[in-house]
Amino acid sequence: MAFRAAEYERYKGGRTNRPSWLPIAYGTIQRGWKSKWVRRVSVLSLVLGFGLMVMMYMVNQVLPEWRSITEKAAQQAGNNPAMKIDLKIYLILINAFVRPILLPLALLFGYDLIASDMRTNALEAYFSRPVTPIGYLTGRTLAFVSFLMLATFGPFFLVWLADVATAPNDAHFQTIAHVPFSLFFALLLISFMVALMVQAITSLTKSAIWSNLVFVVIFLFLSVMGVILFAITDKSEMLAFSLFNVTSVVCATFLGYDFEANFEYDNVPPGTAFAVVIGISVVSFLVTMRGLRKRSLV
Amino acid sequence: MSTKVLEIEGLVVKYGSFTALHGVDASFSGGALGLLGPNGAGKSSMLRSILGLVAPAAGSVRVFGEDTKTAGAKLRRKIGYMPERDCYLGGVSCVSGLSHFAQTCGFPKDDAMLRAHDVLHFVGLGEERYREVSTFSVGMRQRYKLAAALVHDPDVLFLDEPTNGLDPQSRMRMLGLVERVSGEHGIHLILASHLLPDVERLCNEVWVLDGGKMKRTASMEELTTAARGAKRIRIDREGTAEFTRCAEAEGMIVDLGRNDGELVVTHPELIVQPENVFALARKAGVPLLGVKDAARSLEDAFLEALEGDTEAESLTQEVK
Repeated sequence: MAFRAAEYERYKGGRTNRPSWLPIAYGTIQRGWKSKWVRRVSVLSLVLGFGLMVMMYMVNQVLPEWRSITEKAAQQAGNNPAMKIDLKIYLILINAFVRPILLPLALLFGYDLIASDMRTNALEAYFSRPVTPIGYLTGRTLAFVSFLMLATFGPFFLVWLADVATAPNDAHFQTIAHVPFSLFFALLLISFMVALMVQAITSLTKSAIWSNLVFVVIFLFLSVMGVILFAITDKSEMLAFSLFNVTSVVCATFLGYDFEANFEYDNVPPGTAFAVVIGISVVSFLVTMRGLRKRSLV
Repeated sequence: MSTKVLEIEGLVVKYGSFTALHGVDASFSGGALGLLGPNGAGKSSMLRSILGLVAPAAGSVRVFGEDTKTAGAKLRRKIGYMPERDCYLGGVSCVSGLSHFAQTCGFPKDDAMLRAHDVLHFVGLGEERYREVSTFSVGMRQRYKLAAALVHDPDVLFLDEPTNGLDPQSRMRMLGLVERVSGEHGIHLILASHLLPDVERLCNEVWVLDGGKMKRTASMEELTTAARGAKRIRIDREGTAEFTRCAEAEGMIVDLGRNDGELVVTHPELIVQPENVFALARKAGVPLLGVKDAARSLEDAFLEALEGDTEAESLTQEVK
């Protein structure tokens, strides 16, 4: 095929049969990576994980008994008599990564994905080609989830590698062996929920600013409301309003953490937490699809 | 038997309680088709329902013999659509956006990028290809939309008001581009426009829509040569009565033309020759300002199609 054709030429090359969502996912990843803040937050997250990995390795080289020393120090301080460096460390890290990394990244990446396409009528251009609404949403969501997983599961995996490399004994390895799989599925579920929710909000508001505000209200305002309702009614189900609590419980459940024995605070029951995550995902999916189908019938 | 490019049967399109198309039936064998109609006639609704962007309430649409309901995605690989309103990917360069659209139609990545460069050069946006479409002028955006419709090398091109908002020079350029694509490369063209000269220049078949109903389907030749054998003359306005009297004495029929001082002279059996008109003018003592064959313009045919129906409707209402 000639380059810089002054005349129109019919295309004589072959066409692939790959699904149409694949180039959409690829295009979405490129579009996300073009955003300076998305790059910064993603890299910061990976650097944090890498930093923790290096730190654990270095400390282990200098002080091989650092785990038992840390546990004894915590017990003597009286803050946590049963302090053990085990699965709970990963739960603490989840809260450290999910709140300051996953939520801002979700907004930075997804706040304008569908809203922008709606404003510039790009949806009309997609749907007049062999792209279906479900293919469009699949491509966008998979790219979105990939980014969220990179910035959340990525650092966890590095920390886990360091934990395995510096494991004091086989028993510790047995305790944490399932962590990558458990966290992968837990974070995948949460990332899907967040990605679908952000897209549903943007398809309703069609505005970047309003999408951000609604998302912040859902996560922050409802979380506070959940705690207040729990304080008034003393029913732990009320904590289902707190998506922070819901995500913690989902991750803890996947990790096989014993709630009754180890948690000092009340939490939403695991069944309710999973119902909330799946419910939000399904409702968000339906809302987004409704918005997309308005622009296409296929 | 050759497959028709487009077959529409009983197509009804509704937006809530408003009916945009009322049971339209038509077919198009190939070439260049003009969809004519005033604003709100249902042209865009027809294009969008053919593409599957609007659900028909009833009826069926077949493109290349395949029903759009069942083979929609497959068919859309063969269709290039240039919508009336702006339509682009935000936040990416023009060439990247086009390459992305080509990839969604099955083009390999490298071919898609080459093709995007090629079509942008073809429409004259080669030097602007790394700019974002949001920074383009109206004329450039129209050309970008044409490039976007062509990037996956469709077999049929749907153009919705492609010359909207263009200055005369840009309009001629756009029509030239479309003419080349359609004439030299065998790409079928379906053009929705309310600009009759555009349709007259590009199309060989015309559908006239009004109020969501099909008023007329005919070839361009049929429409514009319906009055062959007649002469359209221009005379001084004051001599109209005398000229008409002389012509009728010779067994001719004289109709008023659309313009002031214009008459259409026909004979029920004979072809009216220029000499006949000159003789009549001499006899009536009226200076003749112009004579030409009374082949109708598309505008005449279009207005007749619309007016004919309006008259019929008002007659029906009177009878009721």
